[in-house]
Amino acid sequence: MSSLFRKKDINDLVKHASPLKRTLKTWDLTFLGIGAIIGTGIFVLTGKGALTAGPALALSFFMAAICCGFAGLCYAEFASMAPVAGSAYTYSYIAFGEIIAFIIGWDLILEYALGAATVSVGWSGYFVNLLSNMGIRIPTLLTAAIGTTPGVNTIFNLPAFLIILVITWIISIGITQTKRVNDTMVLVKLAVIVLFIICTIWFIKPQNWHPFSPFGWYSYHNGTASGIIPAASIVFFSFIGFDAVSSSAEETINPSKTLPRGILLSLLISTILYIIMTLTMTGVVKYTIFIKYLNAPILAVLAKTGQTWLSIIVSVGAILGMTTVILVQLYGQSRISYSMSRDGLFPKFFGQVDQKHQTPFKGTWFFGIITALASGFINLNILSELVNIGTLTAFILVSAGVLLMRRTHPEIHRGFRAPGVPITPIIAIIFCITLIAGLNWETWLRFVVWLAIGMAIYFGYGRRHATIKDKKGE
Amino acid sequence: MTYKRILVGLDGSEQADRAFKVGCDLSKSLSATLYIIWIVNRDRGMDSSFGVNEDFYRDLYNQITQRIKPYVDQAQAQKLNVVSKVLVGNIKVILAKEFPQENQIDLIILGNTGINVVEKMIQGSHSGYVVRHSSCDVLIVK
Repeated sequence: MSSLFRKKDINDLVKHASPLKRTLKTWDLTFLGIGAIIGTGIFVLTGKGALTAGPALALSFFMAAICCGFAGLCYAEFASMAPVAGSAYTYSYIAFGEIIAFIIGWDLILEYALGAATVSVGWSGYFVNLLSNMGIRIPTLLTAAIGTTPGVNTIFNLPAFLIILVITWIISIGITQTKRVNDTMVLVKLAVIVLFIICTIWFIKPQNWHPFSPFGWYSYHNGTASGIIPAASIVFFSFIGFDAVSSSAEETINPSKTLPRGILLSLLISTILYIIMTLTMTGVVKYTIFIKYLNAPILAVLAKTGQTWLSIIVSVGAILGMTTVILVQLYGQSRISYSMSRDGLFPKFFGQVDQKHQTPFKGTWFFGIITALASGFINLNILSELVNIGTLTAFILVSAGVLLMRRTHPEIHRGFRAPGVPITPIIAIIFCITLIAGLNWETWLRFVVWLAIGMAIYFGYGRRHATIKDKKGE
Repeated sequence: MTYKRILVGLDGSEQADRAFKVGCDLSKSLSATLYIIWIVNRDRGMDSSFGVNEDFYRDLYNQITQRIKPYVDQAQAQKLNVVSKVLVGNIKVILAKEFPQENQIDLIILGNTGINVVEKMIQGSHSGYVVRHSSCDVLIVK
């Protein structure tokens, strides 16, 4: 039994300290955070969010942001406990032991695979629109998965399927972007959002905001969970990536002050943008209209205002922004499966590093193909809910870990201490549970199935093949 | 002027090995200090939640720390004054700017990376970037 919780030795990890320099300041972190946050949900999930909560979607964004703020502080402490850079998966292997580490890794695989699939479905929505602006038509059958839009017959999302394969290929041979390319992408995303707000805010008709919150906090409507909380559970996805800031404790000057500022500022700025944007969108278009624009909600607004030129600019910006997000998600996907394979919890296949390209070539393609199929065949309604539940569970485990470690190992050095423990992690956990509760029960069921598959792999394979040596010899 | 601090960038390729040999010969005849560095490319734009990429960089770093040793031995066998370093970071920026500036490098020697046209389109040529952006002399070994 105890071998389920066998732990990695921290000394194995710190043997070679990697030479990272402390160079990041508050604004570097803020920029990093905004870059990681903006570009996913806002282009894709505002439609589904608006259908779930009405104009009160603005409050849902606020709620999701608060959840992220508390969870982000907890993760920052967790990430700074080991004096070297590593993943949440590796930290939990040290802190809680193997089975929890496996669960976190397995959740993150779900997050990245379905995250990439979700974004590619949105990508496809804007791409098809751009093509049709240029007079090129793709057969409707091949533009979305079955059952995406009621009354429209679709089978397979071809553009989404193809973009995932192209990006998988790019990642498998390695990619080197310069800082300038990265910074440019962040600025493009911001510029598109600001331009959109400036050009459409004049078309707001306040009567579209009535009723402001047609479904209240939580209600059951046409067989699905509706209201502010369920919408918050969906748009939580718009903030995924914000904790990229938390893992930079080692590279940050004076992390105990800079980190919380970086986290809070990047959350604050993106939340303000999100709230203005959703209020604008639901103010210009009655929220019920979005059902026809599920994959590319911003286009609903621009169709109403008749600004075709703007819809071209927004589509190009959204496509660029979402391409980088898919890149990041698939990259993370290949790396987390690499880590688990290295520790023997997954077959060696996923951990083999190609010598020429310095990438886990085979694992990248394996998950790339599965993700591509998911993006082609599964509709956005299912994808978008499932992607969040894995992340939320990982945050619950991390926050609980911070609480636990303060009790059991108060002596361990922490590069950053979350303010207000035990209140902060408890609030984080409560928010995460609330957001999970806001999802539909079908999603819980699918997640339980996912976990069960994971446990089958763990007990059938991982536990016996784990490379970690059991000190007691069992 | 003569070169006093010569930098060679390694990546395990044949071309880089040739650059290393040229670097050794030059350092010997000019009695310059030879800096050999090998960089694990870490792309900030690829950072994602829960730090999942960090394990991979660490492992590569540990492997390369081993793989750079024979080069150091080889240089020391030729009685060269050699400094070696394995770094994690943006390969282009470190080669072109950061490392040369911090160590007052006056000559950078690189192999012409053997990548094909498509890869060049996606990655951009490292040596080409260094030639364009570095403030000191660059020697490309073919």
